[in-house]
Amino acid sequence: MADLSVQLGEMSFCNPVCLASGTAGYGPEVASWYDLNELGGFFSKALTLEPRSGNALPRVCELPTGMLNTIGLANPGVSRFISEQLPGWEELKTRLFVNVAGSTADDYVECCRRLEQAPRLDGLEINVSCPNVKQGGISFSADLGDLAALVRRCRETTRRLLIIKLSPQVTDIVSVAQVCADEGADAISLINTIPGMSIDIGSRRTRLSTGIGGYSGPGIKPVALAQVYRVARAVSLPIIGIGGISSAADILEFILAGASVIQVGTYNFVQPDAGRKLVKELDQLCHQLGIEQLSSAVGTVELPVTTA
Amino acid sequence: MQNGRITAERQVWSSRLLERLLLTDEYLLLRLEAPGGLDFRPGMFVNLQLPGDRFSLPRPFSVMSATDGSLQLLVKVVGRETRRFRDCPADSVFSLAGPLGTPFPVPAGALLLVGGGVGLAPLLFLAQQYRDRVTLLAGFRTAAEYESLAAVLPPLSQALLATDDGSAGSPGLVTELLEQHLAAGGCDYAAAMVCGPEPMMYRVAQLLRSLPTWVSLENYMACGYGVCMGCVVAMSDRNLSRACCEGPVFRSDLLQGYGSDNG
Repeated sequence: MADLSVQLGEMSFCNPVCLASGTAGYGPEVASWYDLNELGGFFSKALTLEPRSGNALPRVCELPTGMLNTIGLANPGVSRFISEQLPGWEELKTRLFVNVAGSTADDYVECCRRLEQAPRLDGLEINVSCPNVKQGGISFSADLGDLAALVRRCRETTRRLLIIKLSPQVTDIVSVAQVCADEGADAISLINTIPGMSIDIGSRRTRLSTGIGGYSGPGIKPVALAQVYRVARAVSLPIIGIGGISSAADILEFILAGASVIQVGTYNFVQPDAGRKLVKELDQLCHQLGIEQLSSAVGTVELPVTTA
Repeated sequence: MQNGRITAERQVWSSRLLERLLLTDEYLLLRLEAPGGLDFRPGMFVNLQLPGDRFSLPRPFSVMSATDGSLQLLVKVVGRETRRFRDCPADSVFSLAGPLGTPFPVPAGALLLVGGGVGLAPLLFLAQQYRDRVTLLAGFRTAAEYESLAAVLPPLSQALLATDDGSAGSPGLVTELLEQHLAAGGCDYAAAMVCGPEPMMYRVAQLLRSLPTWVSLENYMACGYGVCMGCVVAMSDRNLSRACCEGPVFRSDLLQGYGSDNG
């Protein structure tokens, strides 16, 4: 057995495999397949201050390299989550995080404030990167001043681990991540979905109700790795790597690029027991490669030896 | 399924293809290995995948029958994935997940089943379990299509047949057959279960307004177990339900557009 435990700053995880927000509900659905305690951590579907029914159908579409979605932050609202879902989390031992979304800074802060009373919660992941609603917070990723103010106010509101989930759709991811670090965030999640589109040429209609949606799955992995790599070299914040992970080898790539923890997203739709399966495979892979302590591999990637 | 605690009600398993019958150019019958102890009921579905070198989401199929160690699925070939299911080597190993979804509730008394095409699958499962008290109204395009599927129909005390081209049974749509059946007084039923194309299910629900009627929806879905929120359906109270969890079987008058909200 390899030692799969990892650290995200001060916080320890029994293994790096977490489930990504929006791909694993609030827990019970995945717990019908396996014990959530086998995971390193769990990130809830995004919650907003008020309930949201989400976008019109069609909301999902398959691609050869992944999928598109335009769910539109459908969720029951933070108060119903606190009363109905959170009690079920109390007996879980895995690391538990709530993903928070909103359209104004006040919305985010109020969500964080209400979650502060939760008895069993390890941290908040602030989603400033949903591409599928007009005011889904993605503007915070574009304006560094707004982002700084938002992170500062969230930091003042919560004593829990504060993670900022960033969009890959920015000119310079390093400066965005640096703002999060400067304003007191504990970690960043990289990356959210990438805006994408698919067209049915017969009907000349887009395959999603909103035209453009969020692209996820194996096709975005190289983009995500590049972002993780760049930020890991330049910013002293621990990173949660996300993007198209569907094998233990994918996980190891993210760890080598500089992620301390990873999230499995779209693969949960393909394999309901994805999280459990990847933890087992990761243990086997580390054994095969002679990695005794996974955390020692974080950020150790090097460029190839050049011959010319 | 209770808050975070594990239950063994569902599994993901590797499944050998035990038998594949090509019923027509379009319809396949697959018999696949299944572990014991899973409680498959009519109306439930499984997610089926054939591992390959390209990303693909699993495809949902209603269970047509579940017997000692195997499942039968009726597959209509409509696209790339279902063509792979038709053309893959006979010793292929699929990935299956289930059981998924909420089954048909089965009240006491006589049951009316109305279906067409691939929508017959869950109804045939019902017919197999309750054969002494079901009447099946089944629609096909042609006599040839009926005959190819007849091999898998359980023996029923009453099955009525309609074909679009009139080459067997009653000529016309299964909804017209239902109108005739009702006009002839054959309507002392406790409930109706319907599965097939959306316009057909809608029409049947209208014709059976006074009878509790359940329809099985066929929404496009990504995950099949309630986490992606891609398959939601609008209910008559304006709330959204997930076709994969609260459905695919819904009481028709609780669906927006089917019930009293539609005037």
